[in-house]
Amino acid sequence: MLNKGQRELEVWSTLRAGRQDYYARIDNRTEFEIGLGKNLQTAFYLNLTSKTRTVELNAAKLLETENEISFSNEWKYKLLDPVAHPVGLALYIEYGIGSSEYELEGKLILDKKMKDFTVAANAVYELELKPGFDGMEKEWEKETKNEYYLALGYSFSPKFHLTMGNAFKNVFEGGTLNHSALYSGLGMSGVQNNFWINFTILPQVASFKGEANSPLNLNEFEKVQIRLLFSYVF
Amino acid sequence: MAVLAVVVVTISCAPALYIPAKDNVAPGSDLAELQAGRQLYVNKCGGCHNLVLPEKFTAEQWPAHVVSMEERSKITPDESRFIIKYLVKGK
Repeated sequence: MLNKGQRELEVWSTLRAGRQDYYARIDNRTEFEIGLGKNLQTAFYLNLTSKTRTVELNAAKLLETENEISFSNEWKYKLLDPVAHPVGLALYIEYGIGSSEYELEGKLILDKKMKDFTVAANAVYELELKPGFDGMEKEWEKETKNEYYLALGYSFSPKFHLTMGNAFKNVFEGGTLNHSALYSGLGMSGVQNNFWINFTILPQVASFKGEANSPLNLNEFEKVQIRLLFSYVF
Repeated sequence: MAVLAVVVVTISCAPALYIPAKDNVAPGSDLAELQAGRQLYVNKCGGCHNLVLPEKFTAEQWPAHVVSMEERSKITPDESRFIIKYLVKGK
């Protein structure tokens, strides 16, 4: 959590790539976060997404690029402090309004600090609504996602941290689990005065549901997710 | 299963911020005062910023840090005294 009155500017760039056919998606998020005190903080995001994927048209394969811009706002409330209590607990809610979809995300965040180790676990519920047409009828396409994150971090020094991260992603359509995969990888963070930088690589390691090809599901999920995050606290 | 094990171990661990007991404070300390100090530290200080462990500063450095926050955090001099007592482990 940010201290009261403290502000943070974060720039996230995430590349998701490597499906059965060509697929590349870049998400750029610019976040402005403010500590409000009373265990509360808020953040505003400007999100830019560019996605290039293979589509089939009359038995021919074509590349199609979609760009999207969205705005989102998050609120985070700390219920238990990770230093004062056996485990830290925070509630998180984020809503987003985009050029082609609306999103609502709820998160339960658990974290624990033990000397040089930090354990963090997140349970995420996400609802996506996209306007569309079924014949002449207007309808909302609804997709829900459940994601679980577990990360173990080790501080080699106050300026350098190494993280082992895992993400278990589940996508539901019409209330039924449609596809599911596990990502597992490494990350590293560097801190210098008010700046910090984080680089994470999360490859897909297993798939549990959906159209699997080999042990992985490369139809609905990407082979790898690479993220670079740059932050300035002031 | 591994996730569950990590969660159980995590929850069962003691907090990093010490809970005053006879064996972890200065001899002759008033435990009730130190417990009140901990509660004030967690509620008054932890609501606005991340808590730091008592070991981060020396017993000589803590009073100046806490007193400098009195106005901003709306803590009275008496509450400040309890918080300092807790942070210096009753010394």
